[in-house]
Amino acid sequence: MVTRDHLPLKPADFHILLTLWDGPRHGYGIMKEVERESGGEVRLEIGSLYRLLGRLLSDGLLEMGEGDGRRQFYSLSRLGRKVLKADAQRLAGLVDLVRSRKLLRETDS
Amino acid sequence: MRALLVHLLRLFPAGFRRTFGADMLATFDDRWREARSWRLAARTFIDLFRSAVLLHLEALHRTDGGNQNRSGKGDGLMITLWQDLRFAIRMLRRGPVFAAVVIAVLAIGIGANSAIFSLLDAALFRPLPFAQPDQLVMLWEHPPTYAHNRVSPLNYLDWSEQNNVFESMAAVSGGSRTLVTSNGPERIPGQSVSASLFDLLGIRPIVGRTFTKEDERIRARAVVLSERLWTSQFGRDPRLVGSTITLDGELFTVIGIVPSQFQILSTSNLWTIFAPARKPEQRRMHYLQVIGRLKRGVNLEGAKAGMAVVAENIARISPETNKDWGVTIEPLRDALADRDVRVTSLVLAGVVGFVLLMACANVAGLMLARGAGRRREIAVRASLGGSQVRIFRQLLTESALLGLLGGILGVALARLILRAAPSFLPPGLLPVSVHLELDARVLAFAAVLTLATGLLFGFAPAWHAARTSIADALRTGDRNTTAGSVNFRASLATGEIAVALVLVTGAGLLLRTLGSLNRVDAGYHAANVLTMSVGLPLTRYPTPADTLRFYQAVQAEIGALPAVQNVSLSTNLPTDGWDIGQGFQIVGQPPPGDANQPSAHYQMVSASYFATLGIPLLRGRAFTERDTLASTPVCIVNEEMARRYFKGQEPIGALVSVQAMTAGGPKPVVRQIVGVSHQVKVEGLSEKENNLEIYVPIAQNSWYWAAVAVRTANDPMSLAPAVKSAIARVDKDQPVTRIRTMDEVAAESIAQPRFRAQLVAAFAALAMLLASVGVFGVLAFSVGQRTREFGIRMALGASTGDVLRLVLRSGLKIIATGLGIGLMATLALTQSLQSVLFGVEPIDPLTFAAAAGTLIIVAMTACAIPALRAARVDPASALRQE
Repeated sequence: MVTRDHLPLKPADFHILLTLWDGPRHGYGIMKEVERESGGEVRLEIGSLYRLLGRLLSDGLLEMGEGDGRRQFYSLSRLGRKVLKADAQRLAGLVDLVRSRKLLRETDS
Repeated sequence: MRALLVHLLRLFPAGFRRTFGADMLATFDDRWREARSWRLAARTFIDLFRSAVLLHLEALHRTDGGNQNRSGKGDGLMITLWQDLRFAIRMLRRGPVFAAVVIAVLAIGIGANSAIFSLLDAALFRPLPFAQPDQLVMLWEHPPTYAHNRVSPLNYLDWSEQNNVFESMAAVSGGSRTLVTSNGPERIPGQSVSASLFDLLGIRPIVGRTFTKEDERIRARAVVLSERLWTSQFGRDPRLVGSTITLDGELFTVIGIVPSQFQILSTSNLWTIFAPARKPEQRRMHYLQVIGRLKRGVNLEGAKAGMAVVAENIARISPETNKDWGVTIEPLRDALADRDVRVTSLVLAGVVGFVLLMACANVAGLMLARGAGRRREIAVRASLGGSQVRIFRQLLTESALLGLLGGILGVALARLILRAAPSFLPPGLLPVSVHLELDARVLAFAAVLTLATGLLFGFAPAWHAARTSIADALRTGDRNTTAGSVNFRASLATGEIAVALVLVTGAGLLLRTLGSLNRVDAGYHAANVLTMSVGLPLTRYPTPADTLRFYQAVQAEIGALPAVQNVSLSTNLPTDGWDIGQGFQIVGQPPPGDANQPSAHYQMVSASYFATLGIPLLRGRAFTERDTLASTPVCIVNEEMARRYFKGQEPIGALVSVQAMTAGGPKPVVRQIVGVSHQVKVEGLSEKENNLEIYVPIAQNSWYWAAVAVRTANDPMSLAPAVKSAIARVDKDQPVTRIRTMDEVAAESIAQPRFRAQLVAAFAALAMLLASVGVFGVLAFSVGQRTREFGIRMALGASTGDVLRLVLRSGLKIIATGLGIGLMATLALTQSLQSVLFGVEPIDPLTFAAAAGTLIIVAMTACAIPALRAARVDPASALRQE
């Protein structure tokens, strides 16, 4: 499978793709959403954000959409959706495994 | 910031910039609009820099991998720079300890310098936070013998009405008020000001309005609050403006809120109207601070000339008070930043500047040593076609990178220092109008410093290394050609010893000053004395009899507490400053005339004052409970007064006419001297001239504020709650402020010398360490280089002692030369400390000798390690070396 090459996603990449699941966003939107969704864990400043966007674009996981004249919009490509889904499944599987080993008590989660 | 970003984008690969440049700027604009802070700016900056580097790295990686799709255009210079940088990073990674030491040394140097620069900038350079601050001046009365007299209300009114050089003038006087809060009564620091003050300074309210001329005319019961008070006491309630609050038991309408950064002359959280009546006695009370704004086109000289005319006018109308009185005018900035903060910040700036120089010298030394180790590498590169310029640039990039990392860490350190600063800066060092902060000016300073240090410590080593002839380096290996660099390092170390001597001697002088201040005889003995202040509102205590009743009740209530041995009330405490000065005249001696009347520190004290504070009476008697309003007016004068005005004659029984404090203005009262008290320090432990003092019984003249002093059997602070509640039993709405022991009062008076001494001593210790490391470095390096030579010497019969002596001698040569140069510099520089020294001369042989001795011991210890290593050289193995 093509997606196999891209797995596992790096945490920052994963968060960026995740914010685009519901639809396209512009750079600042991604930046804010990543910070919010990761609970401040992942913090992308402009340089890093665009470096990662550039890589995801050239890897074919993202597409550059129309701009609003000032800002550019980014969205998931078909491949991107597939990869994100596959990685999410991988992570869900990991969480199940962790649960079954009783690493985390239910109250912790 | 945006402009900076545009420049930073140039660091990115051209292709990347074309695709994302505009969008990145748009995103940045969005983000910057929502949150702007230095923290964000710094983070963005660092992140951009890092990303650009990573992107180039990725691009190179692809090129190396044979992928040819990189656009070759426009990246030429960037790529070379990038290669230099990448190589530099690799070199630093190879020697992480070296890099860490260098970066740490630089960070300390740059951090300390940036922090001190912030102090220096706030004290001396940064414009005051007011509108057109260079037009602002401060004005004082200039009586014949003193240039900085506070201004009387009538003089202020005449000045502001008669002059034609000022756009406006404003007067400020004390105006603290009691506000009853949820925590009980609280004394809120405040000022009573003329209506013009806020407009004059260009202060805009954040809510409501400030005072108008009309408020002044009708003496409006209006109050302006600080944002701080509004927040802490009223929860930022916008409805507060327009409603009334109770201050000192009177209703005041809140008309506006001003930003909390606004402060002038003294800490204040509320402002009420000051509107004096035109009565003759208002010419005799001097308590106003006056600020003026010059008219456009009028300079300081013009203002002085204009005010001289006004002063002459007043002297003509009221010669008995104003004959020969002039006006002193100074720029507001000079008036606010007093001599202490100037000297302190200049001394500290000099000291940290020296420390940074030493840090650079040390780092340069390290770089040279490393450069020597890399001679072959550099020679090989040169022989393979690397141009000298290219090699030079490569090496300079390395030091610039080190400098940059040190600078970033240094700014972080400066931030930490500045954040902690309020807790260790002595109170009153900085004028209340300015704040210490890591602003753009400090950051710019740090950036320049970073660049300068990078060049300073990098230039010589890079030059040295790049210039080396290839043939020489390849032929002879390491030994002979390093002589030049050893010599250069030796002269660096010599310089460091010299600088260290200057700093250690300076620290010694300041520490001895602190020592003498601590040993000063303050004239009182009050080891177990608790003090606090009360200020009585005129509305609740309208007459002197009311205040006296309060004082007597408080005294009785506190006196009844267990563990209290003595309790007294007085307008002032020793070493706490001079609040009230009153003119006096010895009856029977020729009158000097009103305008020239000498003045003395006027103390209104209860009978138990001398006993409570342990002030001995040299002659006569103390006050007793029988000295009342009904009995003969009496006073006690101090030693200096008896010496200066009675010159061997009997002062007891003599009569003095001294102005009494009354609400309507000073009133002369003839008093009989009943005692002479021991000389007491009034202004602080560092007071150099003996002050004149006149004590009068509080029962004969009581005033609206007083300090309570309580002598206790055990730890005085533990009694504070009991004393406070004793006062509350007399008047539950009466707050107390400034709860301190007498020891703390005295310590506060020397907070600045202590701060200076401690800080300079800390830096001197650092300097000594740096200098020792410098000397150690040179010797260790040269011993390493000369191992073979030592081996030969020992093989030819030299003893270990001989080798030891040989190395120590070269160390001693450096130290001695350094001390010689340092001594000359010290002799020249310590003179500038004259004004902050106490009880020790700028050229103090003992301090000089001790400083030099300490430095010799420390530096020689540093020499001993390489010397011992040299002495332990095994001739056989040394000779076997290449």
